[in-house]
Amino acid sequence: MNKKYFNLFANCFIVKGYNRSLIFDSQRMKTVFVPNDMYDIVIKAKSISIQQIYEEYGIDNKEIIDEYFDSLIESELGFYMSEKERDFFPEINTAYHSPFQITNSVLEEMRDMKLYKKVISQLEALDCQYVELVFYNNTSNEFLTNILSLFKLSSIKFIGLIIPYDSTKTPEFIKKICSQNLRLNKILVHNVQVQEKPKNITLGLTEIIYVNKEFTNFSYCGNISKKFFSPSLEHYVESQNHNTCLNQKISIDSQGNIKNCPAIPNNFGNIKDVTLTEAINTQGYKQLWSISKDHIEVCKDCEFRHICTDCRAFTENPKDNYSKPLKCGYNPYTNEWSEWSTNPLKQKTIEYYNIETS
Amino acid sequence: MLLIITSEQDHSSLLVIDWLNHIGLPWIRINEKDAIELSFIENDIKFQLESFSFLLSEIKVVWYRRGFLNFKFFISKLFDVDEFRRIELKKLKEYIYYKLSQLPNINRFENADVNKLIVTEKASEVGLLTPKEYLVSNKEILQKILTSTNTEHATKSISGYGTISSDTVNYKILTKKLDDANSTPENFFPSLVQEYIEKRYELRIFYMHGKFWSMAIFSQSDDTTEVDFRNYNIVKPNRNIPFNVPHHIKQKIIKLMEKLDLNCGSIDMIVTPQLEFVFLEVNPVGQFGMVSYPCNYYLHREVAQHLHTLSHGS
Ligand code: SF4
Ligand code: SF4
Repeated sequence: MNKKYFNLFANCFIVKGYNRSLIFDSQRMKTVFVPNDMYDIVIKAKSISIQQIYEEYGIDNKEIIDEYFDSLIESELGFYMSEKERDFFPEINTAYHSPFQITNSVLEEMRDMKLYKKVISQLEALDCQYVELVFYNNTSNEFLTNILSLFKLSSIKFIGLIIPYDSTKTPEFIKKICSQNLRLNKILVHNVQVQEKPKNITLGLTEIIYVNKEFTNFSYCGNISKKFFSPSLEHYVESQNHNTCLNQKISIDSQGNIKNCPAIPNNFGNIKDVTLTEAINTQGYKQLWSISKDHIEVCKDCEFRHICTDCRAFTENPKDNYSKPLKCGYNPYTNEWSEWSTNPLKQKTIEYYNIETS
Repeated sequence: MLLIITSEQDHSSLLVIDWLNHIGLPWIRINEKDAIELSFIENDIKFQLESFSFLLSEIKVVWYRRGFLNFKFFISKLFDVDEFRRIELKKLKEYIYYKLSQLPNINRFENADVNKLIVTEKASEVGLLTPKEYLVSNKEILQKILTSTNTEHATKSISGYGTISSDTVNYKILTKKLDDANSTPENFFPSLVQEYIEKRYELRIFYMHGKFWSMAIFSQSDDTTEVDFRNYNIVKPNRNIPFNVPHHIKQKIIKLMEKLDLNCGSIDMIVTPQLEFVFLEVNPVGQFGMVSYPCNYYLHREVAQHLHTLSHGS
């Protein structure tokens, strides 16, 4: 096979940041940093031959160019190809399509059984796939069992449960609700104030997480961290033109107000008065859905922007829809991570949002 | 109304249905295990299932995904009458499938079970390259084949079946390299021996009514996947990326599909290091999710949209 052209495998994406670029392999879910020079060369190689690249960069640079390509071949991120093969390998089409109107939802501190019945059928009408039930105050085991059973005959496929710890939340109880509700794919228990915090485990398809911190309002959410990065094709595709947190999301806060997220003030009516379908078709509801990382200040210069999550509820400038997530400690201009909550520049905004950081 | 004939576990059907609901095309799904009682009313046929019924005349388009229709008829205990009815029944079923196949469709029950040996012959008739194949049942002949050329040979199943199960064990049937004929008896069960084709990459092509969605599988960098891609390599999965099949190959595939009277199917090919395209097989009921996801093709959406178009075209 002659090595006239170089091609990155179409499911490996190269994203240019301010100082460096990131290649992420969406098939093997791996990432590597590469210099921005290499980014330019890889992009050039899409349209011209390796020989032409040598000529453009001067033959003195041949060695370094070869080194770049060879290293990508070695890490199996790309391949050499012949002239004839150039037409064989298109890029992945990054269009995002979903058959569902709403894919995910958050119900905050909802306790009224009658209301659940109404909300579940309204969520079904929107094809909602995932529901997260969030509780800050005590939830009895009986109550939890009862609400979970309301979902049994619904078309909702997955349920996440966020509940405070108490001594009745034994491993046996957790196990029991998991085996009775195959839809449960996440249980997060907060305020675990015991000496021996139970270990996080996965039971069947359910991920069970214990945290010490007590959640008293939705400001627990919105953290940006390397551990939440998602180098998957699905995420990449959605992130091109959509906000990966708020796209196709609906929430009902503890007061019954319908919102994009419980922590975002904009209110699209109360569930007492309007249906979820009416709310999402209200002018402005879908506005945040299309704010992608490419439009967000700082993030747009960040090499992580297509694998990173986002948050529009807590941003560095609360008045600006396009401001960087407050709870991100990364600086793409210096490539350093630091603790966001102790950053002196952020203290005023942290106070503004009334976020407890300790 | 769209009729979907499928099996209960088929996940693709579910995903296509999500899109059908989105588009607003009404559908009826029948799984292989659902018993169907037929009754004949004037010029129509009524399909009665456990919880619903419909008339043949309501159906405007059919998607035969996989499986069969499970008709229930009254069968008497008398043997000779039974035998007679069985034959009658066979013709009756044929007629129902015929009636369904007269409607616009994606695939038909009658054509779904292809014969690999016939397909290979037809493929070479339309000018596609195919691997040299032999049916062998004798040691001496096998030896001759294996020593006649320098190329390697492999043996695979004729039917394409992937597993044999008995009460105690499950065998997975994989393509196996043949080194010599030493361990075979003088005469043996007829087996398919195929010349081993060196590959630069494999292709999985989803074909539907003249359109192509293709994926290349790079699997050479690891020994374990060299002969059969079903020996999945978990640590370093094969590289699956979108591919454009050249026009002249597409033309030949279209001709082949016409010859086989198939309007939809998954096609396997090999591209050799010399960039020759070698046809391996076509599977009308193959899984297309494995081509769809890695390439972001949204094939479930494509299938739903096509069914929608068909339902309006008539
Ligand atoms: S916008 Fe922020 S707080 Fe709201 S759900 Fe998304 S990440 Fe959480
Ligand atoms: S700056 Fe922070 S929030 Fe923005 S993309 Fe980079 S890591 Fe994510």
